[in-house]
Amino acid sequence: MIGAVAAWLQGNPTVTLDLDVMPRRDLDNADRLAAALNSLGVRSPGNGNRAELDGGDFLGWQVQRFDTDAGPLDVVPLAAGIGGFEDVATIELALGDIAVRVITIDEVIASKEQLGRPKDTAALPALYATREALRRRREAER
Amino acid sequence: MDKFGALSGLVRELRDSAGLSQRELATRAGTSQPAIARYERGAATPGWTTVERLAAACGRNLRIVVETKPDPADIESAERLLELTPEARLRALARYARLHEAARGLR
Repeated sequence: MIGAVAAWLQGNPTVTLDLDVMPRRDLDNADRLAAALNSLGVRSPGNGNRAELDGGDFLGWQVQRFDTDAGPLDVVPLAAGIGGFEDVATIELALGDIAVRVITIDEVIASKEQLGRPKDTAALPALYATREALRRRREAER
Repeated sequence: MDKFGALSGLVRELRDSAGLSQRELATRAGTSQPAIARYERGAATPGWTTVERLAAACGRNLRIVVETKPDPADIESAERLLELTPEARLRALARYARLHEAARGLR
């Protein structure tokens, strides 16, 4: 998981409704991704038509946007300023019984600093605050 | 934390992230274990070139970034969120999402 939901899960106090995922780019994973999205009632955001995906739909490894029963979801196989699945620093968070790999706050900050678009720059103060809160927490736990 | 405290925390973080003991870091950086201990306690403040050397010994480059100072209110919000488990944070986000949807419906 990358993007703003990943940041929220690590304490970033900025609410977002869009989930961004960065899949490992291999065929088996594409099949699993398609199955997961199908189970969420995936729809094309343009026309709202229900889609029935298979792994082949992802093999161009382009950014794709979907609506799902659980909310909007972007599949981002490669991202400017970040790279791909193998390049990203992540931590593992337990969400119930599921362990989810999420991009680190440091990596989110680095990517937004590098991208430098107005929306990236606007997101930085809250991300810096989150990094400071995480640092204080680590300090207190020592 | 004052700036010296932050620097001692940085030395400790660098060493921890590299998985080194104080003695190993001292050997790699060409200093002594007691010096590392003093830096980490905040009893002594390493100079810039020393910090660069310590970072290099941990396989890291040092760079200076000037950034916006975090808003204390944002830090407090983040700290409150961090008091929750990751699962509870996710549930909180879902609640916000429902509120957001409800608010859109009112427009």
